[in-house]
Amino acid sequence: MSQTTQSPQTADFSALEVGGQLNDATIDYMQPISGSEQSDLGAYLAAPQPMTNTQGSSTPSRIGAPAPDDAPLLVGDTGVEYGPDISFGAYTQRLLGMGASVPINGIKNFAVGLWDMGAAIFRPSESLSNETNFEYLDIDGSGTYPEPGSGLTSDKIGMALNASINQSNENIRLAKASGNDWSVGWELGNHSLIQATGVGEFAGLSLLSKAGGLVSSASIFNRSTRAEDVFDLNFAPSNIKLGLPVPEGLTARQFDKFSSMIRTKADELGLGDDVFVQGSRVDPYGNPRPLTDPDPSDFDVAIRVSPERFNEIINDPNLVRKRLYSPNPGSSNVALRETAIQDGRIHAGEAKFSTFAKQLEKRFGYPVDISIVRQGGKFDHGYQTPLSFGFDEWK
Amino acid sequence: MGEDFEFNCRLFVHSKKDIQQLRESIVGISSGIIIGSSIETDYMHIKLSKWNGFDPDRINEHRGFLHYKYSAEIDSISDFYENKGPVNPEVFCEQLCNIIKELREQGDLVVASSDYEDVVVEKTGWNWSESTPVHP
Repeated sequence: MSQTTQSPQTADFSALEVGGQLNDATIDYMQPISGSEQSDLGAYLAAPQPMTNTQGSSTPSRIGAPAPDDAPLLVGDTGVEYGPDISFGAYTQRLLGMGASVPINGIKNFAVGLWDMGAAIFRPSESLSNETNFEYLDIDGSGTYPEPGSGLTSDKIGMALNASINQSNENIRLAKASGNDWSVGWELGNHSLIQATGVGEFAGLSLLSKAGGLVSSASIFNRSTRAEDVFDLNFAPSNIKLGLPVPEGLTARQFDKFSSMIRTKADELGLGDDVFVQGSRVDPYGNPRPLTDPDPSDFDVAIRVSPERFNEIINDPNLVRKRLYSPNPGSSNVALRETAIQDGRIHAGEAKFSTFAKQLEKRFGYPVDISIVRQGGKFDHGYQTPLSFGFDEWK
Repeated sequence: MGEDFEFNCRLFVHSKKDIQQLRESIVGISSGIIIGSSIETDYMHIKLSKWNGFDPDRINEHRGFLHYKYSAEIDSISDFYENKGPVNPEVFCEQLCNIIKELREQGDLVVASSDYEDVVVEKTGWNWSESTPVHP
């Protein structure tokens, strides 16, 4: 892959073109279609077999038609579900509007929106049609609730997807505003669809290229090019790789709660919000040891701080143990402190995280290790998965 | 050992045992029980794990203990349970030093990193320092 010198910060994601068409925020794609009880998007999403309905056709037969009452619902336990079996051609058609121009155009105001859409149409989910699945009640935030057993209407699903898209877009805008290119890259490139499918990578590379010329044209058409390579080159230090979207062993919702608890704690302590899970639990090629193992793999959480902040922390009596900030001369603690400074890592015990880590273990069932790492240090490397951003917040 | 006594301690342990065997050794010495990934006694919470600085080629260096195979984070059990009463520091130290002594008798190398290393030296006969770096 060729490396360009253009700064990612120059990319204007809000002006993305998709399929040669510019954004059109004035069109209300949720507006019910004349003669139909459903919107374009709702009808499309509720189609029982969206792939076979529309594949290869520029006029999807079910768009605009009411979906049957028992149509499978398409948003799953992780907010969106995806299936890795989608063919390259079929997905490309969807992204380029050949087979699904209406919903694609309706959501095309941002790249992530496309991926959410693509993710949502691939696998019907039984979970939404279950009346005991309370987490999806009022999924669109309208304050209305479906009758038990009725599941959700396609319009609600459509609105839920919109909310998801808006949340993703907002995350990107915030990251861009703060100049955090890494977060921008992660939000764009670490989407579940990209993780699951080679075609997702294709789409991601294509959109990124359009956004800022970040990758060469040749690489867009090379399916072996991984999204993470883009970010290795353009967003993140070369020794950092994008980890799994959700750490192995947790559901998306659990990870959301897990993240929320850690963010709250880090915020209370003034340690910032640059927090991620690393190690085998997020390594796509890792093989974490199960709980049945005598030494099960833990959730290795790292709070990354700048070198300057790291130096402050290691000398702060409110944040670290006395034996670390003020070791007795000549004692083993001096050696431990010097190693912490050299490696750029303060372990849970020395950072007073032991009891909090135990709370997390009790809550989620897995051992948890939490450390403070110096940006660019020995332990700021490998696969990293930033903490999740509030599924509950947009529900 | 006043009210501001800081119980937290890290033991560096080098052993031929695997982690499960070492855990069982500590359970036997401390009369503790295994709960989740930890060992709990009447006074202590012990989290044993593989030490990420482990390097078998460096354990004989001046600061070789930083490259031992295992690490145990030890805290007062009262930090983990609201319904547990305060732990007496002297009793805590007594149990900790007993673990250190017995592990050493089993052939393991053990170094304590704590605020009360002088007590560890007094009760076990040795702890690492710049002037006494060689394990007995």
